[in-house]
Amino acid sequence: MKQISYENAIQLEDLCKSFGDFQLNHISFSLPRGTIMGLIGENGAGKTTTIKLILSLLHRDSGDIRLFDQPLAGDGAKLRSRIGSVLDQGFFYEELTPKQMANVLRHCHAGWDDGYFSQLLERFQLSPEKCCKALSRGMKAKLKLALAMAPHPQLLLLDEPTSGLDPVARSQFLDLLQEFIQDENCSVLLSSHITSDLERITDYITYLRGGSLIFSEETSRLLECFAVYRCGWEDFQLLSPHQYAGYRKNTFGCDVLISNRKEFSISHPDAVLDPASLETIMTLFAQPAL
Amino acid sequence: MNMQFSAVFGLLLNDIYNLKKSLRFFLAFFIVYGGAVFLVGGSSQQSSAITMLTSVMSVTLPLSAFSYNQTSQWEHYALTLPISRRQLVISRYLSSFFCSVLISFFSLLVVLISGVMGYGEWETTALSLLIVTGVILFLHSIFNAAIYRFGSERGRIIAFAVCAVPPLFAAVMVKLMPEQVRSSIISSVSFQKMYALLSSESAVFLLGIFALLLGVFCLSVSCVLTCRYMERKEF
Repeated sequence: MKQISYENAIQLEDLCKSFGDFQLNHISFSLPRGTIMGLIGENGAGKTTTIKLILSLLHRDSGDIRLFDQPLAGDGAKLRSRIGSVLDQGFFYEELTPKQMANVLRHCHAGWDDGYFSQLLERFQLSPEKCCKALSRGMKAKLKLALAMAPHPQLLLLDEPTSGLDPVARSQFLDLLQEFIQDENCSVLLSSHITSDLERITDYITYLRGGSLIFSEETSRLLECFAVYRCGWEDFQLLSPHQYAGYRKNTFGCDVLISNRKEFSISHPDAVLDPASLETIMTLFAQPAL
Repeated sequence: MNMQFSAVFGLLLNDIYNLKKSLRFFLAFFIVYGGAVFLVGGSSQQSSAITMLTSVMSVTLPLSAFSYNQTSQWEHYALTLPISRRQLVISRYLSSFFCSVLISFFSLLVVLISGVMGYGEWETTALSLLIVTGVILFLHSIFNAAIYRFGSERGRIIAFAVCAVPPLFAAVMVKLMPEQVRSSIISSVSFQKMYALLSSESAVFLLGIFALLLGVFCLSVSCVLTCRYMERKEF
């Protein structure tokens, strides 16, 4: 089932989609083979829309989608045989048991692996005979992940998979993703609001805001380049707009998001810069620009 | 097995699992109600009871499976799997078809058993099952298309409304007709001849085959139209 020889698991070029008052504007990014990418953004930023476009659940208005270096054409059913996905919306009828779900999916996925599915259920402490309606939200999330991973996909598309999971389960989940990525032909696109998890496991971060791409960068580079400069309002007003990416006024002055720490340190040798977490980057980017 | 057929089989299996509880209930209902009719009723009651049970089960069961799927947004999930929209629709229509045909076959067995037991007039009842199956397939062609397009709740109401249009139209037309025209039409129809025709086994058989073919045709057309609709649908 494993097919090698591709560079990018996902490649989006100028992807556009509009419905109602929402518009996804010219999104372009690539997810290289063997890496994990975190998709971040506020609610309604376009994360789920992007994932749905990749899965052909939505039809794009324009732009190109390439999966495993192949153009996504038609309804993409063939390429989906190499993808495992966990979305918030849609699942089996709640009277079904994991065993019955496996019986159904065995016929739909050529690469379905019963042994691996049993291992995953055991690892997540899920009973194969327990009705889905008897499972908690967290347990359902684990079951969805087990079902997505059992056919040994090459790409996992996960939309808010850890929401509802307790910290222990979340940690287990992240470990599993790291194991998954040990195979260099496997990649993950993970949308989450839990930025600390993303900092821990992702290689790339793609930030969407209001349907537009703000950046798609290596996580290590982001955390290295971005910094927070805490200063008074008067000091902030001395800065030129190109020196910062966002700011937040507070009681004591201002938190300024610096996008080029190195350059800023040279031009402001006395300034004390704090490391910026993904959450800080997101929060300060979201502030209105001057 | 070819992966495409295998996927459709998987989707049918999902419907069977969905219906597990309902099937048990309907089986119990069939045994109790059918048994009661055999014990207390005559031949005409048997015929109508069996035909009615067949109709109710054949229409309700596939619709229940469909509704369960819609409630859990199964289609949304299924389309994240290596399943095409076409396969999803075809499996839905196959599920309706097989369910109707299997229940009719089961009813036919009951009718045959009743014939062997000497309850009489089983031949016409057995043949009338053909007509019932044809009508049910026609109903599925309306219900499936309506539910795919408008969702489980609204779709059912719209489908019922669509099914009610021809008889309502006929009733209104009769009401609006001038009295003279109406009485001349009624006088020209020979009810005795019609009754004689419907009592003849060969006529019922022909009518049954026609109804069955018409039902299959409507279901196929509905399936093609729904496939086209689903190609454009966004989830």
